[in-house]
Amino acid sequence: MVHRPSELIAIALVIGAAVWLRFSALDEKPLHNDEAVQGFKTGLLLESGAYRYDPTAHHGPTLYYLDLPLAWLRGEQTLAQLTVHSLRLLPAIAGVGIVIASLFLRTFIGAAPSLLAAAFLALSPIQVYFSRDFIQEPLLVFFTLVAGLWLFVYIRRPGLIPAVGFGLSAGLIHATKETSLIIAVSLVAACLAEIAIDPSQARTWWKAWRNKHHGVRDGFVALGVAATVSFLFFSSFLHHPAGILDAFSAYFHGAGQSVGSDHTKPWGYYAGLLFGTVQTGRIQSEMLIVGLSLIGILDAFTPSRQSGTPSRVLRVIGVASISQLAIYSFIPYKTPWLLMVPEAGLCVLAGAGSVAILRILAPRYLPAIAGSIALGAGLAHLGVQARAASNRYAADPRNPLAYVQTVTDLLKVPDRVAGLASVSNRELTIKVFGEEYWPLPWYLRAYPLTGYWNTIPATPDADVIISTAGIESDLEPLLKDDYFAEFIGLRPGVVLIVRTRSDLWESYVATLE
Amino acid sequence: MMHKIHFSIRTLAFLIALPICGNLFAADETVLEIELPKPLFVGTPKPIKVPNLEPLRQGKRPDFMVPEGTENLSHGKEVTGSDDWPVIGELEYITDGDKEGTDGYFVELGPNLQHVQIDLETDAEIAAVIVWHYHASPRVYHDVVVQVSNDPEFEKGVKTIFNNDYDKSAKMGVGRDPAYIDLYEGRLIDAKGARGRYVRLYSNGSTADGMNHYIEVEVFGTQAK
Repeated sequence: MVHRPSELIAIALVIGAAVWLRFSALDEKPLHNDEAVQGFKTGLLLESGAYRYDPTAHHGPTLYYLDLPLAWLRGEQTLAQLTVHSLRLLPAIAGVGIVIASLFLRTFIGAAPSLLAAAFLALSPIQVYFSRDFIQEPLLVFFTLVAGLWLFVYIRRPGLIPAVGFGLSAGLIHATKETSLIIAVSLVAACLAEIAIDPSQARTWWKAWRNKHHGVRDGFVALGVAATVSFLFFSSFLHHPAGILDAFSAYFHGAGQSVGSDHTKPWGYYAGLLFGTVQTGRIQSEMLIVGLSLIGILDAFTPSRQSGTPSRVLRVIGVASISQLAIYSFIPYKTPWLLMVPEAGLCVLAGAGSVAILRILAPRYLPAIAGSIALGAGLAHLGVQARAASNRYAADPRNPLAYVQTVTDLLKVPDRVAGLASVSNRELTIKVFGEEYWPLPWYLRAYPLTGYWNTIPATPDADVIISTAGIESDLEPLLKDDYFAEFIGLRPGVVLIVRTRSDLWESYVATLE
Repeated sequence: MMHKIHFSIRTLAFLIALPICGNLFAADETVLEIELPKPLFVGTPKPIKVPNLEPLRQGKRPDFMVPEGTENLSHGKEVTGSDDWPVIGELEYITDGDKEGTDGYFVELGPNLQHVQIDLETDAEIAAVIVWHYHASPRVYHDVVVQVSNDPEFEKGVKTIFNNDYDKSAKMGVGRDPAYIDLYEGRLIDAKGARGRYVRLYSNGSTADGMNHYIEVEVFGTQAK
C-alpha cells in the first residue's frame, strides 16, 4: 500500500513517461513485414470472424483476438477500416501494463526496488521500441510478469484466487507465442535453483502446501484454467478444434525454423544489442540496466540477505532471466524482439541493484547525493535513447532495434495510390511483382483489384505496377503501355520501382498543388 | 531562283562557320578536373532502364568541359542550412574537400524537405555543381533541387539548375530532371553559366531513410565579370 505523496508522485511520473514513450506518434513508423502479416490476419478476423491457427509460420492467437475490442471501440469493422493505430494500441497498452504490474512487486522486493524497476521498464529502449510494434512480445512480457506476481502471491498465501490468476496468466502465455516453452523452462530452472540454495525453506513450504486441505485442488484448478484459456484461443473459440493439437506441433516447426534461417546469428548477438552501439551520432546501450542487474543478482545471492523474501524473489527472477538469455543465445535463430522478455527481468533486477548501491552510499551524504544524481542521469539518458530509437530513428537502418524494418519511404506508396485512385474514373488495377512485397498487401488492402505475382505474368500491364529492381530487365520488354516510374524504398537494400500509367500520372500530377 | 541560291550559299556559310566558331569557343574550354573518393559499394548493380530514372552508367563519367579559369569556388566557404543542429556531423563538412563515404565525413540533416546553402562570397558564373549526398550504399534521394541566386533568402532572382521533384512535393514546381542513384562520383549538374553568389540544394529523404545527408558540394565557376 502506497502512503507517501512523494512515492505517489514518483509512480505518476514513471507511468506518465511510459505512456508518453509508448503512445506518441504510434502510427508514424511504417509497418514491419511481420506486423503487416499479423495486421492482415487481424483484419480478416475482424471482418469475417475467420481465424485458424497456423503452426508452421505464425504465432499464437491472443494478439489477434485481444486487438478486436480496440478495433470495435474505434468503430472499425473491416480489414480496410482497420488502422495501424488500432493495431499498435494493444502492445502499447501491454507495455504500460508491464510497468504498472512491476509496481505490484513492491510487496515482494520492496517499495524502492519496485519503483526503480518500473522506471527501468518504462524507459528501456528495448521495452519502449517493441511495445510500439504489433507483435506478441509485449503481451508475453505482461502475462509473464502477471503470472509471476500470482505465483509469488500463492507461495506467500496459497488459495484459490491466486491459483486461478496464475492459471489464467499461464494459459495466456501459452496462447501468445511458442517461446512460452522457454519461459516455462527458465522458471522451472529458477525454482530448482532456489530449492538447491535454500532446501530447508523449500521443504517447509512443501510440507505446508501438501498438508493444506486445498493444495492439490489449487494445482488442478490452475492447470485446468490454463488449459481452458489456451485451448479456447487455439481452437478459435471451439470453431477449429484441430488448433489445440496444432498448438503442440508448433514446437517441432519452431525447432526446424531455429536452424539454417536468414535470421541465424552468432551466440553473442543479444549481448551485443545490450552492450549497444554508437550510431547516428548517439549512444544506444542498455549497459546501465545490465550492470545494475548484475549488482542486483549479486546482492540477492549475498549470504547476509539470503533469508528474506526479497532475495528469494529476486533470485528466481535473476536465474529465470539469465537462463532465458542463455537459451536464446544458444538458439541460432535470433531477432531483437526476442530479447524483450529476458530484458524485462533484468530491469527488475536493475531496480534492486540500484537500491543496493544507494544503500551502500547512504551513510555518507555526498556520495549518496552523487549516486542519486548519477542514477537519475542514467534513467534520463535511457529515456532519451528510447525516444530517439522509437521516433526519429524508428525506421532507420542504423538503429539496431529496427531489424529488417520497412523504411519510411514506403509510406509514399499508399499516399500515391490514394491520389491516383481519386483521379481515376474506375477501380485501379495494381500488379505487384517480386518475392519481396510485404507489407504492401496491408497498405493496398483497400484496393480489390490488386494482385501479387512471384514471377512476371505474360500481360503485366496495369494502372500501377510495383516491382523490385532485381526483376526489372525481365519486366521492361513485356510492357506495352507508357509509364511514369519512380524509385521507392521498401527495406534496407530493397528498392521498388513504382510505375503509373502515363495518362493517369498526368491527371494525378495536375491535381497536385 | 537567284534568291534560292543566295539562301543556299548563306546556309552553307553558316554550316561551315558553325564548327569553326565551336572550335574557337572550345579553345577556351578545358576538362573539369574532379577529385573523386574511393567507391564504397561493390558489385555490379543490375541495369535499370525505366523512363525518368537515370540509368547506372558503366565506366567513368564522360569529361565535362568548362571555361578556362574555372575553379572550385565553394571550397572552405560558409554553409548554412535549414537544420541548424545536425545530429551527425557539421555543415562545414560540405565544403571541406573530404568526400569519403564512411562515417565521419557526412552531415545528417533531419527528415522532410531540408536544404543547405553555400555562400560563394562573390557573384559567380557557375559552370557545374557536383553533389555527394551519401555513397556508402546505393540509394536515391528525393526532391533534389539546386538553385542559384544573389538573394540569400532565395526570394528573387532564383534560377533552378536541377529539379527532379516530379510530384511537386517540394512545392517548387514539377521537376523534369531524372532521379539518380548516388555514386562515389557525385552527381554533376550542368549549371550552364548560371550567375549568383548563393547556391542552395534541397532534398527530401531517400529510399533508405527519411534523413538528408551531404558529404560534399563543389561549385565550379568563375568570378562574374
